[in-house]
Amino acid sequence: MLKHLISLVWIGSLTYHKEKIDGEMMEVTINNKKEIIPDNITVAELIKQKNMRGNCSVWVNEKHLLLKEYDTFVIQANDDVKIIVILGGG
Amino acid sequence: MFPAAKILEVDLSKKTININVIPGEIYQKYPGGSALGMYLLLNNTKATIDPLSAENVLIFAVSPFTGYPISGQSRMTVTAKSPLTGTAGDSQVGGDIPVHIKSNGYDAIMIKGKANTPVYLYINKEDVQIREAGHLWGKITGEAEKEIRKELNENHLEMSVIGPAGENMVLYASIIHQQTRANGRNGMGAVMGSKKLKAIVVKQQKTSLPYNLSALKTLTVDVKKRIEKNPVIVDLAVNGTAGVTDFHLQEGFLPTENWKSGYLEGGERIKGTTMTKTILKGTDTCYGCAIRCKRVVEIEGKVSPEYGGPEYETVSTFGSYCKVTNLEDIALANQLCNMYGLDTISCGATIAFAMECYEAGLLNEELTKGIELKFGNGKVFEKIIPKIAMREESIGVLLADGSARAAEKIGNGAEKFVITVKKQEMPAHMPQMKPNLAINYAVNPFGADHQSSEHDPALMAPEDSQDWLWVNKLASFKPVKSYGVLDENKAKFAWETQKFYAMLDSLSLCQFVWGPAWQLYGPDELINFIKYSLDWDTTIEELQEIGERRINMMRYFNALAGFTRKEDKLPERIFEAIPDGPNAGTKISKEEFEHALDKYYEFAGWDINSGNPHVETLNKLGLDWLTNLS
Repeated sequence: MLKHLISLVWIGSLTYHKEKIDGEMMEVTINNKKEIIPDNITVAELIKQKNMRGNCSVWVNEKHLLLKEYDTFVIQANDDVKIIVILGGG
Repeated sequence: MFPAAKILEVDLSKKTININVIPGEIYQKYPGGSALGMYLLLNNTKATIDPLSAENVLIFAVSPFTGYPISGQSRMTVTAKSPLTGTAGDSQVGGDIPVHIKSNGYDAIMIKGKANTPVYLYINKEDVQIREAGHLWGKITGEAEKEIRKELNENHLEMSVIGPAGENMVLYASIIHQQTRANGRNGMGAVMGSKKLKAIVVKQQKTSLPYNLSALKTLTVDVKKRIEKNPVIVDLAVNGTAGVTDFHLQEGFLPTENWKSGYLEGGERIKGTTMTKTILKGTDTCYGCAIRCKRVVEIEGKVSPEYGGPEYETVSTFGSYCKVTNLEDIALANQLCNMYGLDTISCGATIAFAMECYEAGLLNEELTKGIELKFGNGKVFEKIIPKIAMREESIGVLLADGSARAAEKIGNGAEKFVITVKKQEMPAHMPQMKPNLAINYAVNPFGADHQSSEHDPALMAPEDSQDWLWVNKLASFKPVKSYGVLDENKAKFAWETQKFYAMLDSLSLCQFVWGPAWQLYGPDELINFIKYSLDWDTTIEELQEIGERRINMMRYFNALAGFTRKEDKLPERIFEAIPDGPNAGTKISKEEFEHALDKYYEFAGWDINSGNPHVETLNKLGLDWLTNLS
């Protein structure tokens, strides 16, 4: 029974992974470079995916986002994204 | 009522020791550190003196806040006329000694005159002794410190020590504390060496308490959470200032090959995160500070943890400036600078300058005695740093006075390889990326300095972020969306944040903990801290005026020494576009720079042609007494 359950979970995760690869990628420009990133990705997820440390400032199609928008603002295909790490002295 | 300042005045020529008091109403205008140092410098010497003569005074100043139980309060400024720049000299340090100068009852120690033979100063409250130091002369900092502890049979000591570089008056010699921290900039170690003062030793004492301890605890009780919520501070704790290397490398603004480029091939080998994963042995902190940004590295048989670890500036000057991507070579250079007592910025930058001269055929192997001063050759550090510190052989003598003076001797166009302002080597933040630094490097009274203003990215922060909201408490700024922008808005930013940083250096507060942008505590919390510490109800405006007063005192000192706008200039290379990397093409123009400089002088209330303060500006700040000086 337990073996059967594990198999189902495994098959389910494979299906999910396949969908991500096949249907949910898109091209955007990030800091002047074309990149392929997952569809429906929020700004906060993109920052995390790119392993950017520190505080980031983000512009999407020249619009400067507020911090409070990072969790909900979804990047669209062909968006022009600029991300800068806000860095002081040291 | 603001406390009076107690000044320990030691005249090494006359062998006298006196304690003087500055009344609270005056001290409040110059409340410690850099401002108090300048007040004492202006009142005790002339701007036209030879900085290495007995007439110079060397001042170690803390503040009324030093030693209170909160992060970022253990800082000290050393002030003197700088032998490197010829201007007012000013250099900060952290660690434990600031707290224990204060715990002995002193707000400043002022050294006058010059001893005939080497001495050190021992302070145990009112018991102050000038002790013989002939047996310590010539010793590296760590050995001298151990010897002093043994001699005094006392472990509860803190000390400021010079190494052989200071003794030999290398113009960028530093003063070292705990073998790991330095009053690095402006050659304060050379001034100490000129006075034949090997060390200042203070016995640790019990610290005093603030006016309202329980109120002050409201600022500290959640410090762990406060740190965890601030990703910049977390990174500082994890990777130290060396973490900045990662970002500058990623953006292509890491000064490389003596500033010819901003992009270092193989730079990932010297990143802060690489240091954390490889040679980092532990972390260290200044008295009472929760952040622990100091690095401690170890390389068996090569680099000892006793001498700490490289900061971002050191990684850059010995790394990218010299095109060296071997972290071990950089860590060894850092150790040698701390042992011999040399500023890592000026030392690494001067070697990078020498490398460019060597590759251009302006220095040959006859002069370098076979040392191959090629870019990328980090093995030269262990040979050349001791020669500089000892002023040994032609190459050591040549480079001991810094790159600007070396270029004058070399000639044949070597001056175009010099990356200095007022003869001080530039720190590792590129004005093309952060153009407010173009202004601040140029106008800063003691030469190019990266800790004299907030950096430009604060103006690029989201408008609901801490960085943006805090910095706009100082003045109203316009948002900026790209690197390389240099305009009136940046001139205003340069001036307003310079005042804030000058105030922090006066209150002797750490700029990583207290600040107007990304730091742990912001302007409002600073006002509360001041209230809880001294029962002083202050305002941002009053604090900004303290910074303004300090900057004006420095500019006036420099004016008396003959400095004008002519010296507020940048190396030609800074006006070249970044040639490669992800931000290739980023540049600032000379026209933009000169226009921004005009605006900066206007904001400061200084004459646009001379760059010096108007009398009205001095009067407004209560500095009319300056005009009686000569």
